[in-house]
Amino acid sequence: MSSQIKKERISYKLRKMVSPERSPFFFLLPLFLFLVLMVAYPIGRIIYLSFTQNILTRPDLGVSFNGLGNYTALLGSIEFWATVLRTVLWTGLSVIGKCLIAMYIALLLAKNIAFKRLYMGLLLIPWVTPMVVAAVVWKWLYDGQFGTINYILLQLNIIQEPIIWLGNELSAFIATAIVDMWIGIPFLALMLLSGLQSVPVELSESASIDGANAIQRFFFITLPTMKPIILVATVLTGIWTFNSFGVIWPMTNGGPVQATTTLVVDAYKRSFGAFDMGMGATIAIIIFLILLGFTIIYKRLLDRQGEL
Amino acid sequence: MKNKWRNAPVHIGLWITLIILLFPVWIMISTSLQKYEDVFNWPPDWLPNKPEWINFVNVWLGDYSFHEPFFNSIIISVSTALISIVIAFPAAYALTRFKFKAKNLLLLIVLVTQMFSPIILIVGLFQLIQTYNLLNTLIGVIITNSVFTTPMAVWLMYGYLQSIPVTLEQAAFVDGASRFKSIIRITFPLAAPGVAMAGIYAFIMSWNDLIIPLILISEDSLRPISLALTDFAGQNVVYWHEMMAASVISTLPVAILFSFVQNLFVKGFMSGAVKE
Repeated sequence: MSSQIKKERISYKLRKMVSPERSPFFFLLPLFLFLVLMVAYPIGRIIYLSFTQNILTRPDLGVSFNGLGNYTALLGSIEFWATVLRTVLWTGLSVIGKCLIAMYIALLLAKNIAFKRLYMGLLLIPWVTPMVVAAVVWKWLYDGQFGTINYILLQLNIIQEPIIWLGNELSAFIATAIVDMWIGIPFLALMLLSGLQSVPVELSESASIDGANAIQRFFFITLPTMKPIILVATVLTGIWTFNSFGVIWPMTNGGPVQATTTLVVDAYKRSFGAFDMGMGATIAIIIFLILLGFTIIYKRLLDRQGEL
Repeated sequence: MKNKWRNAPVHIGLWITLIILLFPVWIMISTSLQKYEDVFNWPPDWLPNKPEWINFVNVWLGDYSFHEPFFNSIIISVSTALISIVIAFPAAYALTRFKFKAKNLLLLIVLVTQMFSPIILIVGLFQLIQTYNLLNTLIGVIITNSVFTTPMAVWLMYGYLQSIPVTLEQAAFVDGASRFKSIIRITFPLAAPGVAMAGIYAFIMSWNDLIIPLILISEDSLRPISLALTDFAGQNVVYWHEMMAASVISTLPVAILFSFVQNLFVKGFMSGAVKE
């Protein structure tokens, strides 16, 4: 008798646990299954792969457990550290460029002016342009023979003969970063604009009465007040820039030589160019850890901003 | 009078910046309307006086047959958007209408996933996709795209559902409606703009993505536009006038969809829900 009551109680509890009326179980189930299959599984898989030697084009070597072999090989190679440094420099160059130009645009747009909506609409065009389209269009602009950029610079007597922008290591490095900036500036400018608009007008007015000039007001009032938003926007932009692939690949395939091979491009080239799945997975793990760190910082900043 | 001209430097500054910023877009459009021979003219034709609309027909049906990648992209992006909404809406509903322990953890997982570069997961998924014979299929690309668009859709709809007051739904419960009924009759219609925004975002993201089809598709007839453009631009001879026409065609759907959600987007982006 009592066991039947127990059974009923359990089944009641179970029903309560999965009932859509009372529990989120059924609503979360699809997302949960999806995340397990498509996120948790592949992460588990790259962790496993990163400990193996697994070169798809060399089936004769087979798949063998390699321990930390991939990691020691990778961390001990100069090329890898060169790629890390290149990634940091490329991301840094692009993020700094984006921040400065976006801030300049945001400051202009923050003024109470006519045609503001028109300006904002036009501003967003580069951001709406699909990344690969941007890469292709810029590839044409950078063209070493007939590109418009060569034409303009020749006309202005800045250069004496056409330059093959994407064929030279340093210029390709900068040229791809410029395209990445071009795509990222509009979004960042709007983010910073919303930050600027959250700075109370009274603060800046009272400083003005106290005799602070525009530059002083910017550095001592505006910037400190919008610091949380600047931090959030910069970290987010940093993550996106770090992940950039759609710009670099169509323009240079990571070249010339390795000049535009960032970590993401490197992971792609090793996994699907050389089909070295073990090494590719090892770099993927490193990218994963870097992004995880950045996302946690981002979440912290976002939460802190919510508390304010 | 003084007031009217006070902002002139701001306008001039904005115009100069916008002209520089939109210069590549201008070159894209003007090149797309030139004859092949004229593309290499110096000085460049800034404003083709006889626009060659035929370029658009040629790139659509000619050697590049751009209609193929275009429709592949449409299929991929629409399906990805639908899958993302179907999975993400119930989850976003649960996150805003129920209290449970793992909520913050789930939100963090959603946020982290959204920040991933596709390369991380695709290295792990590649052999699974290969095992199930999904290489060189649109379905493979659609499922893999959804991994990145779904978390973003959850995040976007979570923000939107939070802003809808629950009192209406509670009134429906008092009147004896079941939860499903209240969702279909009340919550979903109220959330429709948020759902549309999430769907359009998923569409745009999969429209733009290159790395997933680059890895999963090698069959020419199954390429989406991102991959097709990359391949065309890498060939020895590039017909720039037709390439630019293809670029214009590729940009239009995204620009049109985006103009629908622009206002919502401007409000919503501070929550960090939007991906480049």
